[in-house]
Order: sequence, then C-alpha cells, then structure tokens
Amino acid sequence: MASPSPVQEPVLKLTKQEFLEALSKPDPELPEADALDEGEEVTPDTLRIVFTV
Amino acid sequence: MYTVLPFSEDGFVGSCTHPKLSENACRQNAHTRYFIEYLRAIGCKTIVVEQDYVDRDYLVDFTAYYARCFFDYDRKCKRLHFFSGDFAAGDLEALLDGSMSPMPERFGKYLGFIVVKPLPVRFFGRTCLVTYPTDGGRRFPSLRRYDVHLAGEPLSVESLAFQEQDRDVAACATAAIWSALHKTAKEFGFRIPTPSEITRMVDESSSTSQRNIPNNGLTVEQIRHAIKKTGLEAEIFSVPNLAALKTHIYAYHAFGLPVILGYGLETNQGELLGAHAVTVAGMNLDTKGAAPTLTAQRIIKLYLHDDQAGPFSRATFGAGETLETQFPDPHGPVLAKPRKVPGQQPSYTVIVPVYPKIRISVTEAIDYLKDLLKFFSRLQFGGIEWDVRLISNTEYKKQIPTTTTAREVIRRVRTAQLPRFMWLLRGTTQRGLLFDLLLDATSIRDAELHVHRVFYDEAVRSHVWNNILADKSVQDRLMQSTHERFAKAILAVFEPDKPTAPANSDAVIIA
Repeated sequence: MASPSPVQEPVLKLTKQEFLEALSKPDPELPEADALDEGEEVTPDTLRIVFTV
Repeated sequence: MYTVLPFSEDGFVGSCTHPKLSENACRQNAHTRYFIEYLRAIGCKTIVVEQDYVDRDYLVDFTAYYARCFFDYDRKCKRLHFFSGDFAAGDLEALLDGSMSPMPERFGKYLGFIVVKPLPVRFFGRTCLVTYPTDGGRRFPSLRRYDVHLAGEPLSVESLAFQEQDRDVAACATAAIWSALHKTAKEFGFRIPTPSEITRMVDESSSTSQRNIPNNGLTVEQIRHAIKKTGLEAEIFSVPNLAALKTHIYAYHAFGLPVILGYGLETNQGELLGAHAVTVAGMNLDTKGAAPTLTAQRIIKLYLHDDQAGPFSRATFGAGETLETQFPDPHGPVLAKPRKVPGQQPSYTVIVPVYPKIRISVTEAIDYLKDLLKFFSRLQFGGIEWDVRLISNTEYKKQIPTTTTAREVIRRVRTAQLPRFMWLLRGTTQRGLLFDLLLDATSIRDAELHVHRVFYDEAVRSHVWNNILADKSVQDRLMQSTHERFAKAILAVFEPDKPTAPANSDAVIIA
C-alpha cells in the first residue's frame, strides 16, 4: 500500500552492540499511538447502551 | 405482472405508491429522496415494477405482527428492478414471451432491486443495489451475490442487503444486525434471520424492561445475544478515538466481515438525538497520500447501511473525534460522536459477528504489532506501513503476489499447513513488501500465536539475521526485554528458511 518509489538499498547501519544497548533502554514511544489504542474494557455499563434512534 | 418505465423522480415515486401510501407521503420520505439520488449516481435508466412479490422477510414480519392488527395489511409487496439500459415495455414483453432471449444488451447492467412493503410508513424493505464504482480508494469487501429471477430470466447483483427501520417489529440495531448477518451468516453457513426473528431472539431477561414488539431499541447486550442465537459469536470493542476506530474496523472489514458500529448522534444545532447503530458496508482509502504506520489510517470515509439514511451512505472522517453522516436532518449534517459510558472516556461501540472458531481478536494482533514496532524502532528501521487484518487460509494462499515473489517462497506458502483463520501483519516499505507475519486466529489467548512468516525482502532479512539476531547472546537479551512469545515471533520472522522437501512429499513447512 506504500506509495511506489525507486527501489532503494535497505538502510541498516546499526551494529549488534548498538542494538543491545537499545534493548536495555526503556520502551520507545510508539508511532500513531492513538491508532494502537486497544480501547476501554467492555463493562456491564457498555452492554447497557441502548440504540434507540 | 410487470410494468416498465423510464427512471425519473416521478417514475420512482409512482412505482412505490400503493393503496396505503400516497404519492405525496412517498415524495416527502427521506429514503425516497436518498434512493432517487443514489439511483441517479449508479446510472439507472429504466425501472421494472414486479407486482405481487412475496418477500420472505416481510412475510415473516407480517405473520408475527401485521396479520394480527385490526386494520388490513396486504401480505404481498412490489419489487422494483433497476437497469442501466434504455428499453420499453415491448422489449420486456418480448423477453417474457420467449421471442427475445437471452436478455439483449440494450437492457444494460442489472443494478439491483428494492422491495416496497404495503405499509403506510417505513415501506422500503429488502434492498440490494450495486455500489458506487470501486475505482479510486473505494472498497466494498463485504458484498455477496444475490441471485434474482425476473420471470425466469436469471439476474444477479453484488451487494449487501439493506432495509429501512421498521419501528414496529425492529429497531435500528435490528436492521444493522440483519444487514451484517446477510454476509456473515451466509458466509459461514448459518441461517439469516428476518428482522422480527432477530427482535424475538433478544433475551427478554436482559437489562431493558421494554417490550420486544413494538420495538424501541436494543442494548449492546441484546445485540450480542441475538448474534449468539444465530450460532455466531460477537466481538465487542469500546473504542475511544477515530484512529483506533479505523484500526478495529479495517482489521475485520478488509476480511469481508460487516461491522456493526454504535455511536451518539448530534445535530449541527448541538441537539443530542440518542444512540444509533449502523452497519459498515464499505470504506474509502486514501491510496495516494504519504504512507501511514497503519494501512487502516488511510480510511477517509465509511459507507454505512444506515437504516435512517440509506444503503452505502457516507460517513466522513473530519477534524476532531466525530464523523459527518448522511443521517437526514433539515438543519444540516448530523455528527456521529463517541458515547459516554460511566467511569470511562466516551467511546464508539464496535460489534463484529464472527465465526466461533475465530477466537483471537484484533486486540492480540495489536499487541504483536506493538512489539514489532518497538523492535524496528530499536533497529532504527523506519518507514514501514503495517497492514493488520484477519485473513483465511484460502484467501492468503490466493493473494500471494506471484509476479514479485520468488517461486520457492510461493511454493512454501501454498504447501504450508495453516489454520483456517489468521491475523495477517504485513509490513511494506518503499522497496515493496517486507514480510508477512501470520498469527493463528483460532488459537487460545496468551499462547504463542505465530504460525508462519513470509519474508519478501531477502536483503533486509539476511542483513538483520547475520549481523544482529543470529548471535545467541542477542537472542537471549531479546527474550529478556520483551514477552517470550513476541521475542520468539520476531526471531521466527528473521530466521533463514529451512530447506524444503521436494514437491511430491507430504512435507509441512511452519517457519
């Protein structure tokens, strides 16, 4: 689905050591975090919503 | 008995009227106006009116309710057929008496039908019309084929059935369930209930004390109960923002499942109208804009079966957390908004009828995606667009791109033993497809779900594996830094393929 563009070489400059260091750091911030929101818990109040219109 | 007339506003209104429905009442009906515009948009030129049509859905509703009313209601309907060609009564006569067969080209394309019920109000019954053209970003994955016989002449239309809300035997949620089941129940071999049957399926011991017929509305609990009574299961999500709403809808709808969507309605005067339920019957994706992290975020419009507006009515994503709908209101557009639930932030309600074997929901797939995103972030490898959706074994094997994929990879996919339903997490970069990770959607929660992977970009796979992940100490560190099942899935993605057995063996390849 990504827009087509000229083929590029993969940009992967990270070394093993740098990756290990990255693993020891706190979780990175996720892009588009809203889109990954798993939502609110479905509760008895959710189940009581009545569709009347 | 058939009548042929050219399509026009007067022609359509005249076709709908019957002894209990005046021309004036029909013309003022919001659905009438919607249908006239819609039929124009899909290129209707000619209407064929089929009198005395026996419609199963209405007949069941008739026996359940209307037959027992004091006033007489007819049990037969009219069915209006729509064509894109210009023809006259004589042409249809020639078709009916067999002097002209098969149907000549001048009839054009069959655009579908509308059943008109013999009721004074809410008279539009089962409606199956073609969609807007699917060019551009429009997608209608939940259509199915409806076979029609016009005096023995076989016709068919690809659609998803719609009908106007009948407040006596059904409510908006009933209409939404009915439309959704027209695809899902049919797809998985279950019987499709009529609106009054759905209303009667509702658990009378549930939270509302209201009577079933006449019906004033259904709760989420009652919707879930009605879906379970058909033999399916209901996945229910309470989604607080439009971005997450897109993710949830896309995950199921791209697979072809209609999604029931509940929201609050507010007029542009700020008046709250109440909660409303519709069926998502299509979506429009921005295919030209910059690549988002999730393909689902490309959705710019939904096409809704809104029983108050019409089939495939548009809901446009705008600024803020609202959708602009085509719900009829003289003062302008009506907005769909998240509903307030005690103790929680306002949310949209998403209900998906699914086959019972689909036990793993999109929530689990999102969990895996989050770990993939963290992994690629630590790898400093960006620019990946993720397509997350449910897919069947058959569909996955059918869609594998044959022109850009190595033959050995195609063979591995087509010979792999896979579960019937899977969650597909597909990464794409500017170079093209990166890889697919497939999760078992029929498994149990918290289990290891990854069942297969296909890596399309071998240069990336071998670089990451050879330079980073092949080292046992890195693998151990990865296992410690994240949940074991996610770490195992990531390692499975990048591991080199094992040698395959010859084509005539019974080998099963699970990467």
